[in-house]
Amino acid sequence: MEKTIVKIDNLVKRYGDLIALDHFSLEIKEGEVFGLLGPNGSGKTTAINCLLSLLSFDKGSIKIFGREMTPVNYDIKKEIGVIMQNVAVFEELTVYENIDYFCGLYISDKAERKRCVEEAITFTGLEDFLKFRPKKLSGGLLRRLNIACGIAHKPKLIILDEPTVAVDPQSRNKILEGIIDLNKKGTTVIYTSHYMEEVEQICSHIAIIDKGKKIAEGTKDELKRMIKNTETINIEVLALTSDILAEISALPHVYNTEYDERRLIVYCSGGRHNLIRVLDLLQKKDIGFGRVWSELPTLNDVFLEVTGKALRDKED
Amino acid sequence: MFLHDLKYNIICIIRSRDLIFWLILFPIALGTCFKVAFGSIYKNVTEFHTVPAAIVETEENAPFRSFIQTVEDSGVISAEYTDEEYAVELLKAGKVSGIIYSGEELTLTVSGTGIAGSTLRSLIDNYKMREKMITDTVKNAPEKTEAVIKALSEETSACISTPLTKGNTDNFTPYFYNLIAMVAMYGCLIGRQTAMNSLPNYSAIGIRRSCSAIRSSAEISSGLIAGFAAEALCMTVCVTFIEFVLKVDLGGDLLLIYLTAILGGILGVALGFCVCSSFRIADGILTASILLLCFMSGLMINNMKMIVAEKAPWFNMINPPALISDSLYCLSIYSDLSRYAEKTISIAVITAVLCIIGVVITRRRRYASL
Repeated sequence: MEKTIVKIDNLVKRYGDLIALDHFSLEIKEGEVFGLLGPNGSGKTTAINCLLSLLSFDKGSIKIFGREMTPVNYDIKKEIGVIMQNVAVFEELTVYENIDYFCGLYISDKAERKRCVEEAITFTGLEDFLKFRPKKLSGGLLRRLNIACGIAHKPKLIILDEPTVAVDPQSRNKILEGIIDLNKKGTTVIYTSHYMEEVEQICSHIAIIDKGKKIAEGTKDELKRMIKNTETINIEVLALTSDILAEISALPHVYNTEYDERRLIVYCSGGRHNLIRVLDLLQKKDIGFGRVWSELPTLNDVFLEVTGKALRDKED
Repeated sequence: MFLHDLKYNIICIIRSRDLIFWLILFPIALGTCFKVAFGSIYKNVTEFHTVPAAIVETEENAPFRSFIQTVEDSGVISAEYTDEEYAVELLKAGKVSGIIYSGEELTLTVSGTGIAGSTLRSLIDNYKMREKMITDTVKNAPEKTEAVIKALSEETSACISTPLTKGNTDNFTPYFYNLIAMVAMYGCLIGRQTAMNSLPNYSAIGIRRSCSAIRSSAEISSGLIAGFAAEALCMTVCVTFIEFVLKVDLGGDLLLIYLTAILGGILGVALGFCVCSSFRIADGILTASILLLCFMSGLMINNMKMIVAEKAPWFNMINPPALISDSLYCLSIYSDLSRYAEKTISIAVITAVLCIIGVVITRRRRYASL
């Protein structure tokens, strides 16, 4: 049986009248990459801050490695690596010194620390920038430095709170690949993001959070199975009458259709060969069409269906 | 872990450009300005110089010659006996401050207004007054002549100057005491950085450090000790620069001056740490507040401290820069160290109170919001 690393039970956190976390519960197993997905302001960072005992909470309990998490539980803290949304490095220290400093907050032995720092540098690809001060680094390199500072001491649990915000695609890929590598080495990862593609790419287990409530949880396939939509067909059509649109809507497994700006969208639930059936009908009616493509449901569809709004609604 | 944290805290402070500017470069620049500005004022206005004078004797005047000899011996003037033509040349060339014509009547010609001219005028007037007193006595009561001459000489010997202090009593040294107090107060910036780096509700680094395995007590104490050490270094640089480079006589025992400056610096760090642990204060506001406190202690206007002492005497007792400059002043002026000790103990007590408050606030481990 897989060991539970983190257990959050019925957590309630209020900021005055605002309920930031509403009876929020989670269980994270050893070796998982656990994604906490939600729009900005949904409560992801608050949940992480409560988990790290930085924030007080009104109700509930938090256990990490089977023990109650408190601000003075340094044994637990020793096993956790934290990479926060805002880069936390010293402007006055070089890349090497920053990594050495944060690693030294966990590891006292100099030789061991040196080895760990060097491994973290190699892992994040910062070898060429060791003597650079953070001001001289690009946004992507700065994020990588932030990650190196968080993982150098080889923690059993790594918490990454939106580590790819404002990062270029190349650096983002490098970061995501790194997280997968860490997980392969046995590290449990908690990853919060509002980028569904990232969560879908790296997370083995996902919880969707909105307005402080966990609204869905499972693997990405389990989440996608929770919703009605299984396929979305897109066809460019020059002209379409309402009669034909009604006929398409009546096809098996089609539960909704839209036609707007010469684009026909057909939403299907289950079934096979849905696309062929729609195209056959258009040919029979002698209606010409252009580009055709079919999309499988994404986490955004899951989010849209469970909350009634798009995940990216609140994005910058 | 404590030593590791301490080492990097010191490195961070030493490499911080802002701190280097406010704690080392700015005081050096300001001290140099003070020295340049006050040095020339002091030389021209306050410091006494022997007044060069030319004496043209139109008639022989033995008593006056004897009087001039006495005055010359005391270093008040340096006299040069010459003819009128050469005396005028000397006056035009600025080599003498005035020409004294000694004959039947004593007259004085000076090149302009100033202390030198006034000194010569006062000498002549003094001589004339004594001469008249003796002449009148000889005419009216010759039997009392000897007594009058004796009385006049006793009058002179009654005015023996007795220094109350061995310290430097010039008007400009307190500006340098206030400068030292200002550098000590800039320790607030180090205290602020220590607070910022320790508190998760203030900075990302605060969050990061709070999540780490270092104990909060070790984290806070290493931050404070690093701040104290860096500030002590800055205070040492400041006092050394003023005393040995600018060659300003700060008065008093130099070791105690260093000690007071370092203690003041520690007070500055503690003040910054305590205030910034309690409130989120922007750098600019903190710097402005420091300057305001320094202004109230007389950094910009020397008699400001006196004004505060009249209007709100309690403020001088708690205003850190006033306490620091006062203790340096006491050290210089009074040979008895009791007043100095009183001020120094106040500084130490305030420092301890501020540190305790700061530590109590910073040790709070969970926050209602970040």
